[in-house]
Amino acid sequence: MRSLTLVRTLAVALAAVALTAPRAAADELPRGGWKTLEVGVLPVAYFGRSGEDLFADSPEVRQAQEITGRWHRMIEDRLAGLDQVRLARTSQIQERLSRTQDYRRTVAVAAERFDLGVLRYHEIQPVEALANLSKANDLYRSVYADIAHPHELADVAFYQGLILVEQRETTKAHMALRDLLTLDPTRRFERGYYPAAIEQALVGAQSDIAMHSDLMAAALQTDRLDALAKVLDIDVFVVALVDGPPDQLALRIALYDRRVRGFATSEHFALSDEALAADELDRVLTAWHACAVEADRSGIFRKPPRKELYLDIGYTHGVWLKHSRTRDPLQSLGASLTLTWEPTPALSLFVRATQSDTLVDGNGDLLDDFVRSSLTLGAGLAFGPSAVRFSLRVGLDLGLAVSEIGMTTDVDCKFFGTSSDRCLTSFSASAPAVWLGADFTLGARVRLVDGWYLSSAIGITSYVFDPDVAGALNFPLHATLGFGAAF
Amino acid sequence: MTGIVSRMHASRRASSPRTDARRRRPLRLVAALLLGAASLATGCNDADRALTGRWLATEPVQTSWLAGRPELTIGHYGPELTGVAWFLDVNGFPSEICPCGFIDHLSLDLDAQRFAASTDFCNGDIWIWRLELDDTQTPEVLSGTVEVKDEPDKVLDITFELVDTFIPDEKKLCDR
Repeated sequence: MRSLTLVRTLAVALAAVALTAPRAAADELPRGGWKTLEVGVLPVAYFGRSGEDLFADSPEVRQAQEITGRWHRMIEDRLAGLDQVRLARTSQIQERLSRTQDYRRTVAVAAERFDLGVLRYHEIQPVEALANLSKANDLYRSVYADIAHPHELADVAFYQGLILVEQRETTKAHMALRDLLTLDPTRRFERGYYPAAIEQALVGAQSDIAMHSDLMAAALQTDRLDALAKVLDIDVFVVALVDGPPDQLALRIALYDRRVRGFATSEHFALSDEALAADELDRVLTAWHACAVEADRSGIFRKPPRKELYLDIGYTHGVWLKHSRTRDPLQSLGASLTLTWEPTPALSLFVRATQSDTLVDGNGDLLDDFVRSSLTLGAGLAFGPSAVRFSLRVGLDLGLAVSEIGMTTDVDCKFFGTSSDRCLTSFSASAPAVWLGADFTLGARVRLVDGWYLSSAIGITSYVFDPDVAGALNFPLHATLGFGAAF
Repeated sequence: MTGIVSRMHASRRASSPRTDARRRRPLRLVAALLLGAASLATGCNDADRALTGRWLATEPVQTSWLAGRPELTIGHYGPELTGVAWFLDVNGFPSEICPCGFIDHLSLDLDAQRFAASTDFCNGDIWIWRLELDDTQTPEVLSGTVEVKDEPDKVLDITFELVDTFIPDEKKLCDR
């Protein structure tokens, strides 16, 4: 009865430990985080110069350009401070573009074309010059040199403008010079160096830019932004410029979102009151940020509810370690069906039914095979990660053999029968033979696929009843290997 | 009988040169593991019951001390055997002088498939059976000698063949 007392004590201890173990609350919560947005800031410039400012070093314009630079940095700093935003500053974007595949080779070819165009221009071959300059323009733009190195492209546009003005292609010249002054908004010219017609065209182009009739539209070509976003792996581009006369500066800002292939925000506000303008910028960015940041869908999943019921079936092999009536240990083989309930991750309650056949040994000391059915009921501790779970169990085992069990080491009893006069000593347990005792099992469960697992267990049973039977056959060491399903 | 054959082969391997033995050690280990696993799964194998059955003398014998056609019913259980020796006349009827005697185990060499057993004859003589199994023949045969203990001139070569592995109860009842 000592074993039963031990079982009872252990069961109480197990229940206390297991029930006080908290449920893993995290099991029920979705896992995953917020997606970090890659945000890039495109070059910010001042476009509010007048035509006359192209030929003079105006302190007001210089100040406006300084203010523009300050707002450029402020935009970048404000964005850098936002959660879940990874900022690519303008300088970083330019550097990344310069490091893209084929950039150096393409720029080198474009530069050659540009030089050739300039050469043809000086040789007074305007058509060939324009063809080469146009090719240089295309090559530069194909690798986004208008963002990475806009001054080179501005030079191309300037020569295109010069030739077109000389050819009296007024509209095309205007567009070329407009490109020049858009790409290089700080460029200045010496008064009287170029012919009057060219100076006039330059002034016209700058005036057009200053009126910003379609300036943002030119800067915000969605197809081009989308392609650029793919090249740089950027989610959102911030496009901004400062315009207006130096005493009435205004910031225009728009945010292109690659995910929707469109602009999420487009705002403009005066910079006359810097504090107010800074608040406006914060408002714009915060409003955009609130809607732009999203959960990382790739990582979002709700962990499936923890399975609590497990049913497995397996092959069971046993060895009777105590075999007082036979010379060799007796082997048994059979099958077991185990139902496990884990109401908490740490507590394991189980019931196991086993049917096994104990085989005649080599010496024939066991006179005949006998089939034994047993039922084990108990509890245990479960532990380990969900992929591999271990359990340590204690249970009450009731075994029953419905056939008579005969054992002897007397060879005459085996051949002539136990009732023969020649049979001197033999053991017989009449049916039904009953065992009752405590079972100790160490088990493991390895998840194969979702809902299915491989089960294994090894254990030993200590029987205390019936004393006669348990005295002859006791302490079966059993090992089970099988598979099961979780519910 | 495959178990005995395997065991014989194993003993032959054991007597091979040392180099061969070393080379075959892993194979032997695997074989031992497989045999062990098979033994675990079945509890016993054919070798433990190889001699069990009814063995009838292949030819009638006619000597001053043994006449007729003896039959041995042997129960073999691992390292031991027992049974009944039936003394039949040439017509197959139990001898009137001594119809039967119990077989008592003396020795059994499973590897060599050889055993020795004794039978108390009705006149008080003790007969010694020294027989060896040859399982390569069909039916299997036991061949060897039968002699009367302490009487060197009473030795007879004898061969039995297996007539049945099943032994009915009446063949176990020696009531003389």
